[in-house]
Amino acid sequence: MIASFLGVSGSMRRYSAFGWTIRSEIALALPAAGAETACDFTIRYGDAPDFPETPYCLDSIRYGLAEDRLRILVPRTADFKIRGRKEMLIAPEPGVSETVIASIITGLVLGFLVHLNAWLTFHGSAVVRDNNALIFLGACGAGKSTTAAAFCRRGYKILCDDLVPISVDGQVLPGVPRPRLTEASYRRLFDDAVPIPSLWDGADKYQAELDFSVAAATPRVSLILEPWAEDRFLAEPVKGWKKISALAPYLQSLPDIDDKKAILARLTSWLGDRRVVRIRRPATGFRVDELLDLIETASSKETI
Amino acid sequence: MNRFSEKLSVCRLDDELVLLDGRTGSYFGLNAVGARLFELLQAGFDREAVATRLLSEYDVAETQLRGDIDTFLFKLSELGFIECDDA
Repeated sequence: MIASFLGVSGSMRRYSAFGWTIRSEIALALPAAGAETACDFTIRYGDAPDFPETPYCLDSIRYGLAEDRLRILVPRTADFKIRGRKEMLIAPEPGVSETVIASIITGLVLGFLVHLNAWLTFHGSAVVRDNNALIFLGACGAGKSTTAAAFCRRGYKILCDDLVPISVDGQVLPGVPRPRLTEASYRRLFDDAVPIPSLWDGADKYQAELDFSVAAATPRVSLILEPWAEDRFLAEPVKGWKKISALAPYLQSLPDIDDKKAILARLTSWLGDRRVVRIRRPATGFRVDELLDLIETASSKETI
Repeated sequence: MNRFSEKLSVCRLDDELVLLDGRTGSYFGLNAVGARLFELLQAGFDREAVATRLLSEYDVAETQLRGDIDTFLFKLSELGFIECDDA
């Protein structure tokens, strides 16, 4: 199965994600890491016999976990085997392009790793400035990545996109630091510049190369972005136990592996007196700077 | 004496309490007054002592308050969260 890929010499490239330095035989759409940084994780073609079966399903993906060995089987694409926080071995199906492999690594497999190494994981994006993180949550299309990317124009750095990992001491951990934007959002953000093909994520978006941070940050506020039919903005603080129902929809869990009751308990413990604000914005036709102004105002107030 | 279920977790969110049922994953929110009532129970106050304390802290009719306390205790007991000697 992997014979066609043996002997491909790709040189090892170095990338930065989750605060790790990743050395990869495959070209990935991740920020480059300096040659002087020690390598935390290696990605290469190969196989190993001592990995679990894949009894669990996530859509068409099959996966299995045993101690520190994770296996992810993507049908008609590749078999990914991850050993602890050390290495990933990839056995592709014949004829599968490296571009497809790369997009699955950054879009799916690394997401599994982020989740398994975090205490809590949200579906969302986060930016940081002065060690304070703004977390953006919301349904697909709510503008989480676009809002995060836009904040970079105001001196913030990207901390993570798509998955927001939270550590056991409540900090927001670094994740994949490239927001994925639709072409329209990309062009709006970069003054109508057309994204180059190498930024294509293999699905439907482009990765934005922006300033990013690799250090954990203190969560300042969780912002739930919600488009609505009205032609105005509204910031509504969420208090007390209602914070649980507000954030629970954005919690990530792996079926058959995660204990949902334990995750809910962690969420409740993490929330404590942390601030949650619901940001309602017009569904269409608004200025992004107006949204950012509202968010910054809502984030800076100790009480609303 | 009030005995609370080992499967019950209690977390404070702002000025409210959340009771998490570790058996089912269900959670119940208590507003500020409910939170105060629960905290008195956790501190070992019996029903009479809870009523006395809350009457001094809140402007409420005694019969209303005692009825609310009984309803609250019944609900906690029904959920398996508490066993009270004087329930």
